Amino acid sequence: MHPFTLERPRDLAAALAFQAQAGRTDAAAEYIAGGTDMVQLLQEEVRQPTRLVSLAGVLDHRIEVNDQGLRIGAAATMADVAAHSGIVQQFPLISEALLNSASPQVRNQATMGGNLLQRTRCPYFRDVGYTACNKRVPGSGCAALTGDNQWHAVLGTSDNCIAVHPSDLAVALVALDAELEVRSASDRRTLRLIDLHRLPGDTPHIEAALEPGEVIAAIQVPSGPAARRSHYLKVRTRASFEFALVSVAVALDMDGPRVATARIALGGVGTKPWRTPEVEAALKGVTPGSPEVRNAAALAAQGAQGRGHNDFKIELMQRAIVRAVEIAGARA
Amino acid sequence: MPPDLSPPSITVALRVNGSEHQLVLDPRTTLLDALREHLQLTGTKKGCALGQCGACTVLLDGKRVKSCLSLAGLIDKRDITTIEGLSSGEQLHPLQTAFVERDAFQCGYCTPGQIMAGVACIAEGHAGSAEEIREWMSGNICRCGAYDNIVAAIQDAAGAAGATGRG
Amino acid sequence: MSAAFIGQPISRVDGRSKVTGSAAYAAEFIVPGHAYAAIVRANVAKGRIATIDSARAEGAPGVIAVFTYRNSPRLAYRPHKGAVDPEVGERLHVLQDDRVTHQGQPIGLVVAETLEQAIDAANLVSVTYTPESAVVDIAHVTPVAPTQQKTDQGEKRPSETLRGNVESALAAAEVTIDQTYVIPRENHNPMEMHATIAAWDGERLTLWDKSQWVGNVAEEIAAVFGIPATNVHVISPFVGGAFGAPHVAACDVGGARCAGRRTTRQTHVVTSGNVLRRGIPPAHGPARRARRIARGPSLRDAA
Repeated sequence: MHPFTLERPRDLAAALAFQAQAGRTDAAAEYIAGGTDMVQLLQEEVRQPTRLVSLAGVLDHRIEVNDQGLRIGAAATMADVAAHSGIVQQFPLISEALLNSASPQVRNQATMGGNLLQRTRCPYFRDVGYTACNKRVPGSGCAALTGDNQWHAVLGTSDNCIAVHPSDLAVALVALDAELEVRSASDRRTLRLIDLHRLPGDTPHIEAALEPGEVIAAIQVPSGPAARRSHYLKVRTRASFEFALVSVAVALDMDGPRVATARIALGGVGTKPWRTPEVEAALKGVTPGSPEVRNAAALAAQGAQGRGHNDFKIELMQRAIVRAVEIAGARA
Repeated sequence: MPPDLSPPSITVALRVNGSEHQLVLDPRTTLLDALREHLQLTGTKKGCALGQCGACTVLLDGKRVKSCLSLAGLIDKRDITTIEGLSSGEQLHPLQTAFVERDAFQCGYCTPGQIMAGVACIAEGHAGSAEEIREWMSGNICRCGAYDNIVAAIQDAAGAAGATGRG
Repeated sequence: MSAAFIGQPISRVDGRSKVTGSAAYAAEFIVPGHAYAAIVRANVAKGRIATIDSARAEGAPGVIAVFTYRNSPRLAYRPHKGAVDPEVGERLHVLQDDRVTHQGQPIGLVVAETLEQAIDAANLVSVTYTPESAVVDIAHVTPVAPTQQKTDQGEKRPSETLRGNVESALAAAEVTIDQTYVIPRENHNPMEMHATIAAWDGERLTLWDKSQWVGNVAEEIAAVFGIPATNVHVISPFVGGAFGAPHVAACDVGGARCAGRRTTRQTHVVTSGNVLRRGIPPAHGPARRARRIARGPSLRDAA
């Protein structure tokens, strides 16, 4: 690791005063919470901040579930959230997504905020031996475009970056219309989660819509019937402890046997968690398990671009949508 | 700060297996390296240094974590339990005994991490079946392939601990 | 062996030490006052080092010395082959010249007071290369046929063995299958990462090393340094998995010894996991096997 000054502030105000910035791979000061991604990035010298600001003990970790919905403090751990009885009963999609992520040890350490802001697993990003990575070194090129890109994105890409956002939790929360409470020293604002992660475009090194001195303080999810009839489907090459090739978060509000409202988000295929409004609209009035579902799922592929080794994801994600809708539809 | 100068050292109070240690550390020191290099507690192993193998598993306030992914400076004043703290004198922890009786290791390098994770797995109530154990022990790998015996050892210890999962 | 043990579920003699964490592996011996060393590894598959600049690394906090081919001692590298080494091929000469023969090849060693300082300073050594085109597909390699193979008694025997008459059996077979199979490259990936602690005492060297074969390590080290094998004491009571990897006196050992000798400090070399997959020779390279199978009554006449 490159040398850094480790700040251990006693309260949130002191932490924010350092003007650390999340979501930028050129930030001089970064936050560290659970550390399960940040320590890896430091060890591999992918990230070389000169100042590391610990959020231990200064952020809210409470989990509150009531009739209006859910509020989770950003410091709550993946394990605590996944096991919370209110979440298991009313927002099972979140628990499923979390239990499909990482390993038990990592889930005990990793926080909600840190999970949403974790960096891509793209091997060209994670290995500084590769000089062409626009996310790490703006303007240096993208090795994945002509390299081994089976893990990479087919949606939301540019010719500067095709890296996938790896969080399962983010996909589930995007499907549930989650919002973030963002705090700075002087302000508190609400940011829709779907607006947090930025498309790479010409600036893949800018990953999140957060300013210096801002931090995610809490996650809020509105209550609703769809939240309960849901499923998180994760397709991967190992049975556990591996990131997704393709994943689907589905939440359905049913009218008898037919879909009234569908919420669908995709993981493993987008440069950010990918909501699919066209698919959702096409599923209105459709019976899960019927052939119409496949027609609706096909709309997710609009604009999808394979890069040579990941073309299979375009077909796979359609099938995964069909399967996930079928499973969610069968739930009481 | 110019990148090549020394960063300020930090003072850390690490409470390990009931004993408190005051250390002055490079902020980059992981909990794993603090244990192995600074406290000479080498029972916790470094298998990958990237959080992928689980050999570095310790208990932090009773919960299993990967010490290679923890900065020592952020573990101030929390209770750390390592493999060295599991037995009391000559008396082995029931899971350690089960590992010996079930021959749940060969080279032994993953073993401390497996045992620490296994203790937590049982305490969490996730040792109800072989399938459940395999899923909830997925954070620990064994290159010698002792998985079947590891699962059996955990089942033995979980059964002895009773339905409440205390172990 | 006593009948009292055969068939009985006897616990391993090292069982207690392994489940309590008291079994000591290579990196875990306490050698007071030792320094740490991290390896600088080549980032091209083949070529020559054009420039290697260690000034920034040398100036980094805690750094004691930086070794490259430019300032490393010329080592004897007397001929040595262990009994399992192939007849063809030569072992890597560590830090002896500017040649790079594989990605991840050690091309430098940084010795520092702490682990963190050594690892970080290794990344401060800046290297440029004159790359050459590398052969990475076994189909493009001209195989070198092994010629002779020594038996334990030192007699030469042909490297192939034949039994029966394969050609005539195949010619008479009802059906033959002639197929080529390619085995993917395998890496050892044992749980314990490679590590060596080296301590010189005059002309005598003690190594706490991760090794399945301490005798071979001692002999090879002796040959590299041109010192008597009896001067080298290799200690390796426990190995965290090997699968053939530590048969080779790995480059980290060579590095540790170089460093230890030059700096008069005992030196502990560590290898990171990422590096393990690139720097240590694989257990099984990609292999091409052609198997011809005969079916029918001729089968018993085939090898």
